[in-house]
Amino acid sequence: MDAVCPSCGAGLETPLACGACGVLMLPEDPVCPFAIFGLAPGFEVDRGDLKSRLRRFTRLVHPDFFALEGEETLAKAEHNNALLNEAYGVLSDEARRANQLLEGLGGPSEKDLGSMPQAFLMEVMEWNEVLEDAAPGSPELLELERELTEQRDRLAAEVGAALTPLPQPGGESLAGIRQSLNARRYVDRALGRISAGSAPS
Amino acid sequence: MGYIELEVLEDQPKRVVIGIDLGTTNSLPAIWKDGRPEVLEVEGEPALIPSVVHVSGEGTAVVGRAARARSMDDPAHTIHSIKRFMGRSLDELDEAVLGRLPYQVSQTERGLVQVEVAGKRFTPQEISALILREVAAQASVAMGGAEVLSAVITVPAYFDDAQRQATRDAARLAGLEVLRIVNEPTAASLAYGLDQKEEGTVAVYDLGGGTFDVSILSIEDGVFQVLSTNGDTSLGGDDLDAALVDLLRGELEGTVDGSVFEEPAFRQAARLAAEKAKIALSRDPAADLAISLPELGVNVRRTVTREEFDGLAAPLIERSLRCCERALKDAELEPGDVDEVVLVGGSTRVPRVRAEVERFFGRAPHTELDPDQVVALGAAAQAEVLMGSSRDILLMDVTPLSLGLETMGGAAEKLIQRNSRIPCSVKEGFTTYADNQSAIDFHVLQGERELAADCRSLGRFKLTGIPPMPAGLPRVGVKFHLDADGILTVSAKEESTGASASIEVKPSHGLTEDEVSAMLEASLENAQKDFEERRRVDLIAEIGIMLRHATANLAVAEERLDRESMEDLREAIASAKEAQSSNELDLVQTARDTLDRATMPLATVLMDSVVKEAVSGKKLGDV
Amino acid sequence: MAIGITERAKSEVTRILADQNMPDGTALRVGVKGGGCSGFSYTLGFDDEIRATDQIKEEDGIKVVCDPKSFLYLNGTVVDFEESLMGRGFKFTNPNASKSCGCGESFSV
Repeated sequence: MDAVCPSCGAGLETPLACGACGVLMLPEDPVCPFAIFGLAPGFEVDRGDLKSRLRRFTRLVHPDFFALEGEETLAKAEHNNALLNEAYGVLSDEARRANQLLEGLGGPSEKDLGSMPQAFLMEVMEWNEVLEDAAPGSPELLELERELTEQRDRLAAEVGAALTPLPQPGGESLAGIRQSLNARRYVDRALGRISAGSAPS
Repeated sequence: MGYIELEVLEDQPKRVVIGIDLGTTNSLPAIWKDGRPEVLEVEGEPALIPSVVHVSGEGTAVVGRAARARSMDDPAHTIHSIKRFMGRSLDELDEAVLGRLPYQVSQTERGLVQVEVAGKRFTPQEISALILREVAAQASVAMGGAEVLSAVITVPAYFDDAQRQATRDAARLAGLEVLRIVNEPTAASLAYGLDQKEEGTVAVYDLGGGTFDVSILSIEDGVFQVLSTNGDTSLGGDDLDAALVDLLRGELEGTVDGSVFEEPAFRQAARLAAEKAKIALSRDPAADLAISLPELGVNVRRTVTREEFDGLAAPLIERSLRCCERALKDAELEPGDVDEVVLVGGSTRVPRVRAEVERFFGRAPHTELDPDQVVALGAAAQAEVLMGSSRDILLMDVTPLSLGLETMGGAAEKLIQRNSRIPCSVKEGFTTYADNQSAIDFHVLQGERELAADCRSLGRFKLTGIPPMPAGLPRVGVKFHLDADGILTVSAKEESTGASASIEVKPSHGLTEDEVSAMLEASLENAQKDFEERRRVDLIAEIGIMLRHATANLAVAEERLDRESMEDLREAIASAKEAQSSNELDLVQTARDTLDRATMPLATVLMDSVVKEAVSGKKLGDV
Repeated sequence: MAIGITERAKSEVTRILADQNMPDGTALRVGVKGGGCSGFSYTLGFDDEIRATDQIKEEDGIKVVCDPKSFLYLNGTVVDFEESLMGRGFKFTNPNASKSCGCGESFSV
């Protein structure tokens, strides 16, 4: 990154704070999650690297380290740490990360892209029937879970392939990626219902 | 020449920050010293302060051991386990719990719990403030008089916003600045991690007097990262006591009148007997459960075996293990992935608890650190981090419960998911549904359920000052921020015009800003009253001493003093005697000053004679 | 930068610089050190070595320098000189030390 610290002139790894002198910045809203983590936008993310950046940057902005510095600085630390945590949430989750990239490329939003194909919606209705009727742990439910997991992995691979390398902004492939992502939301929701149903209450 | 350092004048006393474990049963202060946390000690003993407050008929409160000592002879005025009521409304509380209390509780106009004792009403915040004041005072004694102004206070990880807020308000009422509210299991892991210097995945199982928490953490390279947390804020050692009390009641059923069970004396005696038996059962295979209250016609004794007690404890332990399962699931781990298990809280001394935890995680839990001290030690370590000495230690905690808003139709829309790292913020846009609508109402919820009615209501707030515009045009951005203490703040702005919308809030289970201010003022007034009272008592004692001396030497005075001085002395003695029983500080003060002046001539005479007597070889005492 | 110095402190610094024959360009270095449960403490001294990352402020010929880490703590403080029964020496005062809420329209639920 080319940005430098306005306070000490050192190079910046993240727009949240300076690693050299420790001064907190106030990045302009909204900040791209990739930029917050000092990464170039891209679908492939090294989880280990992401985690180590999270720790390194949290050491720069966590409110614990600004407890004695007055309300204003403390509020800045709270704000920046919240931005960092939010960005981590986006980057560590495949679907949210893809969503972020798609938006950055000017692709259609979840709502822009009307409804899903009829055949897919029929499929969703079938899942719902099983979810309504099948008892937790029943063979039907286990079969559905297996099927959904498979479908989720397939959609994820599709989206990953389409976003690597990143397509042109505004390109034609973006609509297809959105459709896969929207389909994935249905799949995730159904899987969520299965896991909530089997969870100890 | 390089750098030449000069000495800097220090005009303020050094800042002392202590860690406080504010427990259901006991509270404990600790401090960072010489590179490690240390429990504060008074007279060579850990300054463990029973979280008990006794309020006398005259309204004087005592806290700690002295208060616990009164719990048998004056149960109705002795308040224990107040932590269970922090940030709660009366209608949320379990009937059975209320049915066992030796003291009276009622509700405020807004339904909050309050304690009624000696004709006075106290909110749980005020009672906790009294406990915190005592803890700070004891800490101050332990540190040779250093004034305690700031603290890190621990709360159960599973405390919701209202309960955290109540804890913070209690500290404010006690005159303490809270630098951080830290979760008990997180604090424990910090103390443990620093002590054992181990890394990996750690489960902290914290069964205290009134609350249960489990947290799953990863400790790596000085980073203590909470992966997930779960718990039950009304599950603890108190419930084990309660099960034993029920056993006692069952034993008495039919032999005594049912109204006996309502008597504060019975409730207190039963509770104490149960506690005693429980402690004995952690050591011995059987224990006596006995109470004798002849005035109520109660005399019961029965032996409880360890087996029987284990049977009573089983459902409670089971509940705690369900929480462990949920915490592991949220952390996406299996019990076998946990490298170490740390036990916290006095109730983990129960052998059955240890055995079940070991069985669940498949490994023996750590017990190197005293489960009663480990939380306070962690709080002291956190205080040290906050003092900014280094960034080697980093705590990354999560919020235990999802946070949401009630939507049309009574559903709960989650804005922040449980186990999200804190601090965190969410911005949501809202608009109006009617032309020129100037206000929007919100209902903030915490919990995992789908319906608003099933979640816990944190508060309602009203956004006002939206500029008049056609429906759907205003864009009001509302920011929900969960801070590092896990406490929610809401701010709002109308984005199309930039006008800041104002917010009016009504906490569902907490005190409003005005209520806290009023209580603070009242406590200051009380402090003034207390101060005056102490002064009056001191002055009366002083008068007593002077009167004793003056009357003993009245004969000498008669002989040696001139008439006028003698007259003054007699008058001063008379008014001082009257003042001895006066409640008026001014009157007592005047009487003491007058007596002091009037006895001066006598003192001179006596001094002269002392000197003379000394010279002539007589003893001083003979004068 | 926003570390202030009072007139009294200035004249005392000038006096010491002259009395002790310190080299030209000697600056008053302020900072914080330590930590621990009793908090950090202020440091102050004379220094003729100025680092690239230092914050520098010059007023009436007196140079006040501060390293960036310390500056985080010292921003807003004023260096004063005091002669009283309590002692004679430099001290730091921080008018912003009291905690007040500057966030305006926020509240807690």
